[in-house]
Amino acid sequence: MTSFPSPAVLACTLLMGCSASLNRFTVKKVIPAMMQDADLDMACHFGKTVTSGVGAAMSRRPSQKALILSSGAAGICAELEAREAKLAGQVILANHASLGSAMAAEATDARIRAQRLYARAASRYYSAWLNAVDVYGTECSTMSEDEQALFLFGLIAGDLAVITDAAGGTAVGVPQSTILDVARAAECLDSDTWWGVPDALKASAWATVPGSGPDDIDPWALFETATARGDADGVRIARALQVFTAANAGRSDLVEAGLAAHGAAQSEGADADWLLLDTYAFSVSLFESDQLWIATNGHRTMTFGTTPGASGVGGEDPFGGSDPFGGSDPFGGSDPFGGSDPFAEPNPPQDEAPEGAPGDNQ
Amino acid sequence: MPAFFTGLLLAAASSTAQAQTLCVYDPAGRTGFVFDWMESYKLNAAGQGVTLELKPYTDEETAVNDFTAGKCDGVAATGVRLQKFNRSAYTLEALSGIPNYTMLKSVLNTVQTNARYASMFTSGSYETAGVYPLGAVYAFVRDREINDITDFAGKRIAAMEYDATSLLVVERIGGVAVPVNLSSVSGAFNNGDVAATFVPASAYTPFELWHGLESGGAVVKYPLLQVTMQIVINPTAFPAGFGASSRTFVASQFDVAMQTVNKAEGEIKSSYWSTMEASKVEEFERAMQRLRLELRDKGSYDSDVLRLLRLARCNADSSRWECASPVE
Repeated sequence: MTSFPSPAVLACTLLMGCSASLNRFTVKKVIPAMMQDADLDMACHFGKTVTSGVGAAMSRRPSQKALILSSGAAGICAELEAREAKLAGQVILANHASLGSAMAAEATDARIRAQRLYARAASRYYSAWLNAVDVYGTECSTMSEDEQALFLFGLIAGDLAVITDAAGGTAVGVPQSTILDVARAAECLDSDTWWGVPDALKASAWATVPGSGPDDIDPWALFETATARGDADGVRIARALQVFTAANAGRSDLVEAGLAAHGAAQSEGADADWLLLDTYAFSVSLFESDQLWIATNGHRTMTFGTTPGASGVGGEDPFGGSDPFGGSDPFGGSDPFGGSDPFAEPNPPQDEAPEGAPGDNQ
Repeated sequence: MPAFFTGLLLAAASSTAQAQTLCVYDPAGRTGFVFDWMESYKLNAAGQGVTLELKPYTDEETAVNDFTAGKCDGVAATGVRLQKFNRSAYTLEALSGIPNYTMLKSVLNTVQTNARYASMFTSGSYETAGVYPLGAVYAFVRDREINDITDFAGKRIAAMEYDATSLLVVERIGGVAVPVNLSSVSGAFNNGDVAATFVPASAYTPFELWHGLESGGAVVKYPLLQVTMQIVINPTAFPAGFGASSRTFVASQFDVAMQTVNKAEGEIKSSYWSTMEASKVEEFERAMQRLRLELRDKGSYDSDVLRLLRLARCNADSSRWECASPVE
């Protein structure tokens, strides 16, 4: 596993270098190292640690590329905490209906906690997005592949800023039109190169804002091609966006299909160079799955990719509906025990029969 | 009572607890502010022992149809969409019926919390279980010279295709109605297919309506009507008295809802706002009264609620032109 450059390294760079060198360092060194690590906690704590340093030390000429990455990564911390708070509230609601107002107060407290954390996440993601707009503008320009990666990170942060701000009661005030800005900026990136994410960002915006997309493009169909690319490449951000957008629109059919596809794609492994993004994508879909499982069964996902059933298990036939024995009877139709019960014991005396045994009520 | 029996009773209560489904229309889906309000509503219902399952819809017609078909026990949607379930509650959205937010708060609080007005919320087998403010509808015009009622004559005006009231208003002010829906309204206005549209401020940012305003347009700061988000339920699916307690809770959320409304209005650039000339206001209000009476006679508006709204207006300002010889 590749480790991140330590905050000390960045601090040294801050002290010794200039804004330009920090930007180069971010693009050339930090991004590759960070993206190869699947640990979301590491990434987010890295972002939290360095963001204020990057901003303050270079106040005359902020290292905006570094801020795209560090603010965005810091947003993950608050978002993960917010999700936990939200799920905790949902578990209370699902399992303690009989507690009445006490239960409602607990669930309300969990919701308020989640909202505050979502607002914190929104503030960080929005900062990452605004820095991306400052650095790269709103018109398409020629960028190296490394720069494109950072730009894409900024676009994803823009979408997340809107989503988390909405979940936080719009305390930050991220304009809803930001998702349309993101969709327009996504035109600057080749969707096939970037695992279908640019097309998925467009599809998400067009499916969410009525009338915002081209008349001849069905956003849900666009999602299909985008997710196929991402699943095949082992970076499943497009899949997570599809699941989230479908859940947002109440398209439970697409949510279930998307989760099943994400579950199936997980077995294919991830692109080692972009593990962080794929892990984040998994966390998004798992969060959607957890909400479904809690609403149905009162607890989080037991088996990712399966639809929660009322029985408390996946609700799916583990054998896929087919006869696991291929239709043949390995016992050839005969009783392998020759008609005798090898576990049988002599009948207990009548007065020692256990309670509830057959014939007990006679 | 022995713990064993207590446990049995709780188990029985738990196994019979049935979640009620509330179909929630929000054009932004689960991330919209209406859905956020409904999350709070759900928690309040939980405190009363009612477990609500919220189902998001981005298409309002589908949400209402699913409610009608019995796929949900309640529906949250705009008053105009829900008018077929309750004319009285819909009449709170009457044209020029409530001229400001102070009066809106007073009216919504009074009718929702005072048992005297409970009957206006029940209609046939349906009950309106809450009315939230969504903000005033304003005229968004591409040419700020369009300012009073006579200026609309001959102009193409976008009107929601499902809203008979809007279509009638356009006809009566001499405009040419261009039926639109949520998917086409922004394109029609921003591309110049229409000269004006009537929408609340909350449409401004998501639909980027500044594109239609930036070449000399304006938002006329006169509340044409108050849009509301209403909850209609099938009362037989809920415990007795749920509707009344629900309305009390919703009334308590007025200020929370208005934060969203005020924020949306604050997002409109101050230079885009225009005001109707004071000398033209009465003429406009008289025209709106004529339309209210026409809609009352057609059966769209409820006469009792129109009278309540007139009383509210005249209590606030008894010198109004309509107060000396009231016709509502």
